[in-house]
Amino acid sequence: MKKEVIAYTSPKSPISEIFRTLRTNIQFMNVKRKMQVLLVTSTSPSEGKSWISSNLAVTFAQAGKKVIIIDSDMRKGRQFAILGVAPRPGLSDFLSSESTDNDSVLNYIQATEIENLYVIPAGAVPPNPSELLVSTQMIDLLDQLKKICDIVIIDGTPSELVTDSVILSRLADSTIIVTAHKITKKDSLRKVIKNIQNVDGRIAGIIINKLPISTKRYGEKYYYYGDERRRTSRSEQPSKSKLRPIEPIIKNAGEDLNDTKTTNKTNSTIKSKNTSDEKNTQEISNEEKGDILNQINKYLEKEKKNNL
Amino acid sequence: MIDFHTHILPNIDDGSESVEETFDLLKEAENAGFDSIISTSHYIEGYYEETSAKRQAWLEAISKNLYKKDIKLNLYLGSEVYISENIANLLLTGKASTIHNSNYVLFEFPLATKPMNIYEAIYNMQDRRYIPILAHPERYSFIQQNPDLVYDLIQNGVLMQANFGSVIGLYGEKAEVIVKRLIENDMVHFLGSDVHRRKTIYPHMPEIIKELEFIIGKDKLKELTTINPNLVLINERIEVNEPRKFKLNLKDRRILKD
Repeated sequence: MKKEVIAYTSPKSPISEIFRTLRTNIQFMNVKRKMQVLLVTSTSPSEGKSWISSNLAVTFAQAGKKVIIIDSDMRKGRQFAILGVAPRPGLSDFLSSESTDNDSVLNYIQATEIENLYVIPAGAVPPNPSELLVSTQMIDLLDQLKKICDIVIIDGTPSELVTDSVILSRLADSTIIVTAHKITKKDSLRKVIKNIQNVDGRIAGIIINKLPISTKRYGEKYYYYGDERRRTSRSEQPSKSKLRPIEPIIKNAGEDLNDTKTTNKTNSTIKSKNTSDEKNTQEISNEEKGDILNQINKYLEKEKKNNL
Repeated sequence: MIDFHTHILPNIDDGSESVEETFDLLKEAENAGFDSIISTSHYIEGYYEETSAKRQAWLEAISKNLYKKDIKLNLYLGSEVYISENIANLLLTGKASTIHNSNYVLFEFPLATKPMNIYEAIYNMQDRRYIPILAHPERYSFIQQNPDLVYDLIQNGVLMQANFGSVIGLYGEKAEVIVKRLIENDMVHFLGSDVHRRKTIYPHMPEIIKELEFIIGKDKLKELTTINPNLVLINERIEVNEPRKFKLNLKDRRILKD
């Protein structure tokens, strides 16, 4: 879990407050039409999609909703690193797998250390991300997820560069476009909106990210923020222990039935390759041990003599 | 203070060449202010292939006899694994070692050429829940030409271990420029001496510590040299600050160019 998941690491900060406002706004839209699958995209990279989607997901989870965040950026997805889970199995592994049994999707969902928040990371980089997203597997996935959770948040790709998110906007109930203050170009934004509308995607709204905080106007909040920081710094130690414990190393295929087919495959090949030399690598003979001690003793004795 | 990267074991790799040198290095380390040392001998398929068991035996034998030379140090086993697609396999079979049997793995790239399958190899480790730590990012020529790679690797869950010596230019001007930018921008998580020989790095430690305190301050330095390595030794997650991408100034670029 990274510190940037601010809604979790410092829930009382003004930034977390803003995410709660965002949550409320989205929930109000929900009344008019069903809004269960939410896509977060932007025009160009680095405008804050992953940051906003992870924090928004946390905020929904904190409200008691069961949330699944899908990292659909199969080229450069980093949601696994943000939320501190394993990079695989992920979306690409699911979409490229051939099995279609209904419960198989559960194998791809990982729990995070935050209650109610689950994640499907991007998975291995596939050669054909856009094609995977238009597959019927993707529609099936969303249908299945809708049944088991309250909200699905899809962390998308930038819409101007690649078509992935435009494709996904058709499947999502609504799309949020993240823009960055003084970075995003109006023309690009216009183009992205048009592209999404052309494929019948619905846009919930636009988030302006990276706005500078003016100390004058938000003087009051600054005081509040300072207060919050003092509190968190005092309780730094417990925040460390909040990190999810490290999972044990996965040794071989037989032990881990939950793992995906692809990893099972690699597991078994690794296993068969190595059973032969496993014995000689785990232990060394007493002879060798004795030899090591001899070498050390020889040196120590020599030193002793030199000192006399 | 913990030295995260050393080649102290005698005749295992290109590090220490005798028992005598090993004990001298450990004495130097103690004098430089370290209380713990992680032994990270090279593990390179086809070149340096001493098994974990053998290196563990060396480490235990040395530990037991340290008091005879009046040295107080805790020694822990690790290795510096040369990247290969086979890396998870090497660790699973006990050929190469993770750091003190934790999930953390110190690994290295070839110094001059960028391997093609970086992300594949890293994925393979993470797939098994290993946590990869890249040794001395600042020393690779392809990173000196394209430092953004470090940012990408961190975003892919790789941690970074920089060398103490780079800070004062022991590995050249380019490494010095890069390591400073990395440290300033929260892209370094551990520091190590990468010691191979006597009187190379440890005598410079006072100067290096001073320089580091000037760049990042005492608290942050403690995080890199004591807090983070300790979390590794007890196999707990370390909290990673968001790295910041940086732009090189004209002077830096000129140094990196030639």
